[in-house]
Amino acid sequence: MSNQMYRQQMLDHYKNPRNEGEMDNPTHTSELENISCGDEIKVYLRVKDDKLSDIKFQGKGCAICLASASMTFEDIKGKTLDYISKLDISNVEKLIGIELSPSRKKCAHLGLLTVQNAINNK
Amino acid sequence: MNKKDFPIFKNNPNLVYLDSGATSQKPQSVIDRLKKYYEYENANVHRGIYELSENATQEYEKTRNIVKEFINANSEKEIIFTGGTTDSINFVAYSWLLRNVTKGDTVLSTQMEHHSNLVPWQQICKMRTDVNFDLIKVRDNFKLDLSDIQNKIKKFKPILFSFTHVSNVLGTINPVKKIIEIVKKHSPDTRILLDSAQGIPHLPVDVQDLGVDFVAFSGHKVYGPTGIGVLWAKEEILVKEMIPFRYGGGMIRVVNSDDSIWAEIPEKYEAGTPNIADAIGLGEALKYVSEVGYKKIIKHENEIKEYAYARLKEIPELTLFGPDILKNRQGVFSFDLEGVHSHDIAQILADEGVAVRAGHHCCQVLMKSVLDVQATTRASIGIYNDEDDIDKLIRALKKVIGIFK
Repeated sequence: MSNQMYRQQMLDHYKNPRNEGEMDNPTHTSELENISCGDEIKVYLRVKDDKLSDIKFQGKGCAICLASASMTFEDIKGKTLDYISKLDISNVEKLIGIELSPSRKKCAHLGLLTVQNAINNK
Repeated sequence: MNKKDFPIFKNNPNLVYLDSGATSQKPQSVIDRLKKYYEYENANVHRGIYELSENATQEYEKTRNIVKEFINANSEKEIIFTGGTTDSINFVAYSWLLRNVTKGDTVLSTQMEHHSNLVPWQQICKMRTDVNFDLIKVRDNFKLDLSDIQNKIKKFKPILFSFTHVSNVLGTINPVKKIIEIVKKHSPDTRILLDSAQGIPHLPVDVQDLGVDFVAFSGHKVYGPTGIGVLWAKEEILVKEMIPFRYGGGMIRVVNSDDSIWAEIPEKYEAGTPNIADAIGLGEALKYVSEVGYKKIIKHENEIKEYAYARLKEIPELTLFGPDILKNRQGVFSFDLEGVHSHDIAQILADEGVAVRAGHHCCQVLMKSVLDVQATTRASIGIYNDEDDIDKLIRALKKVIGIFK
């Protein structure tokens, strides 16, 4: 399974996360962690006309967590908040192309949850 | 050694089990004993006049005697069956500490404790005003700072010093007798609790020889069932310094509508129907350990430990935590691989059939204050491990390095 799980695309997103960094004057921010394993993600969103016009994130965690966040954020950039709020872990799994065990689902889900949390908190 | 005694390996032929620090596998004799109990002997204890119940009571009480012999307690009345180490420690926290602690007291523990030997004390101290909770430092060599122990014992004369026999993360074997000597010399009234959850599976515990006041351990880490553990305490403490914190059936002599009188020890501290089957299973596990013998266990585990240490040291990307002097270390190896999160390591190892633990190992204080890492990967050995298991671990670790290079 790991050959599949840790394939090149995944590792590339882990080593070179897209949209990594901070943002000046974001419209939304949120920070979440998986307490049991210590994965942490902080997101900065710029929302314009109900669309996610820009996103930046900072994170600490395992490859599954950080690569999933990077790939998810790349996908949702430019999409409507309505679209983003309807996504769930199965969409993330489809996006990264891996079926995850229950304990690793939490890792992969964190990025998306952080963005949804930022949107809902506003 | 003894792998054939453990059916899990027959049923999972590719399993490389290096997570005995989390829980041990169970020998056939323990599994058979549980089955026999439920198939032939099941009845409640201390109640029925019929033969099955008399027999179950006898078997349950016989186990108390097995435990007594195993840890060389003075009397089987000093053996309280609990749900495990966590339960045993909470027991002392509520039945003893909460009742005896007063303003100005200090409770002392250490930075290397598992949450179960830290949080109960911390929280009891918070329930009372002006009670100080302090932790002994861990030195750079991953051992407890003995001069810090001496200073804090002298300074605070703590009501309790609770520390672990063996660190579940570092493998450090604490010099229990030396520590107790320091405590007794500078504060003879300090009560001492030894958390032997990680000790007793590998090293003998003689409570009278050590001179401790409380010992806690779990059945499931010493080749016994889950859900059963032991609290040993000196009889005079059980009788004079503690009160029950769980009330109900089985612990009662007289109940009136306005007040009640407790049974004698140990029943007084075992409210409700006890975990009869697992207690009997624990007895069988201790019999198994006695039959193999600590001498043989120690010799074998030392060989595997030395082999594992040498092989892990061959990997330059790997940082190993824990004492380098192997006689001070149990077969527990926590490590960090440069640039790879412990969950990714554990995942790839799992796919190679190697079971290890990843995370903070319920030792967040140690992780934050001493090791300065978020998580580690831990391989821990039991009597069934062999050099082949270690070779497979090393091979899998090299695969991790290859993937993340």
